[in-house]
Amino acid sequence: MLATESLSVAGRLEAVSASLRPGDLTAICGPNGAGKSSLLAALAGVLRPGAGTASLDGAPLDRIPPRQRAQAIGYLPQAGEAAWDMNVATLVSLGRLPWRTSAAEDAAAVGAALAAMEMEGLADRPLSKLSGGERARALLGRVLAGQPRWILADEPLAALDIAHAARLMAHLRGAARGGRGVVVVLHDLAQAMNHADRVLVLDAGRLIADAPPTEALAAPVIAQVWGAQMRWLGQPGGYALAPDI
Amino acid sequence: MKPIWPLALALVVAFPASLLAGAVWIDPLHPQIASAGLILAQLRLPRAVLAVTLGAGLGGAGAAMQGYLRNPLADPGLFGIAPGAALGAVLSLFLGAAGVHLGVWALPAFALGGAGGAMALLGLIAGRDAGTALFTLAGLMLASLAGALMSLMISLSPSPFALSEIVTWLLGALTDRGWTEVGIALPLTALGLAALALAGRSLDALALGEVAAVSLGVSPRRLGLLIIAGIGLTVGASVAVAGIIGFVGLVVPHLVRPLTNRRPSALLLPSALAGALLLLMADIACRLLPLAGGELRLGIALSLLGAPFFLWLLLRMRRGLL
Repeated sequence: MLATESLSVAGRLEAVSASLRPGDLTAICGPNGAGKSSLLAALAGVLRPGAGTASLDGAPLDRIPPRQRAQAIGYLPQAGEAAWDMNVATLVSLGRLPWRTSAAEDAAAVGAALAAMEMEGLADRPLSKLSGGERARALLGRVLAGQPRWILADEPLAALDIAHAARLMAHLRGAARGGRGVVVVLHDLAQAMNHADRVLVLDAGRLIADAPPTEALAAPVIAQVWGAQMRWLGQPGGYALAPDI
Repeated sequence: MKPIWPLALALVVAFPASLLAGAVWIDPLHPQIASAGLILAQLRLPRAVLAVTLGAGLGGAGAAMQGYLRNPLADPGLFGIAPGAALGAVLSLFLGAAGVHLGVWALPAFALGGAGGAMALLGLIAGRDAGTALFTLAGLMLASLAGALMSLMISLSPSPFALSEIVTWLLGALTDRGWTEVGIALPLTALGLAALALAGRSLDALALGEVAAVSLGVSPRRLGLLIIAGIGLTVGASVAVAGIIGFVGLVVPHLVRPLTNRRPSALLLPSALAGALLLLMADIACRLLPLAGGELRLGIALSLLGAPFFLWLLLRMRRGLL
């Protein structure tokens, strides 16, 4: 269980309490500046709350030894980067840093992560020769290589085309079905509607909704939070958002 | 890990060669000179050991520095530790010329004191959860402060003789260094390189950015302290015994990086080996180049080599951006 209790970060989050279950794909949605990234960073233990706590299985994140926390929670920041022009396999292998496992175990985890990101064929390619979408997948592959119990990703779909975005969401759902906790910040409300088990809606640092997507992203909520008149078209699993005219 | 063996092999070949080359050539099979043994044991051997030690320290420090700042243009001198050490050394020369009797250990002791002072100030200013930007700014300020104080002492120097002594010393050289200097530099450099090796995994994580590094379990505070200690010991030791030797820490990691998988930790050892090799070769060249009025200074030689290389690098980077 990854949870926050009255979590506040000055100017960004106000008294957010939510507890997330492993096995769920949870989406964090909200307008620009709502505090989505701050909440995700606090859940990852990389942003120290001003008040309140973020905890993993009951233990406050800042009390857990950093390496142990890093083994349990994998975090992909927004607009991920890599300073040096490594090849994909080397970049992905950085996800093994919190572990002190054998080279064979590391290689197996890296191989599995590359396979999950459909990047085996690109393993030897330097990052500078990748497209934006390929780079985004490689960076997410780095998180998967750590085989964390929790996968936290900040807008992992931002640079992906629709086909890769769909496959990535399917993969994250699969990870959640396999018992991991998956938390993603999503801008695309249709992706959240169609793939998330649960949606947290933030507005100006406050938690507005914490419910299954059909409830949390209902048209009245969108109108209230985003100030946009929209309606959902389609059916479960294939919803699309359209302006309500 | 690929470039380690070739570099180590080249070092094994270059080391004995450096013992034989110089103003007096020594034929290992038929020594012509009576004092050959003395020249080898008291002049050339300590000098070669020193070149290898300082080169390894500066090369390793450069690789760690570039990894820490995630910038291929970073130089270990950036943190103000080298200028701090130089300031200490200049102070001892200044006092010596002013008639204060300090003894032979004064210069290296003052230089190490200067390096230690710069390290302590860096730790104080940037020690707590510091980002690399704060580190760099603090280092640059320390460097310019030390530079200004050095200039002040030079302009106030009591005699032309002291002035020339200070300036010559600042140029950096391995001339006339002996086992005493090896005894100072070797243990400090080894300690410094050990600190940098301990920082290796954290530097790898830092390639993904500071936030991602923290999420991978890196403690920014521990990393910052290891980097200060590692750079301070290696660079401080080198300035203390040989003056300012520039460009090794900048150029060497660049030359070696394409041969590695570009993980910062995988660059540390090859960079140290290549730095040792470069300094050894440059020192041989200095001894062999005919120059009226004595040897070419090592610091000058490396800057002559390094500055054009740096310009070429900038040109290439600019072309890459266009």
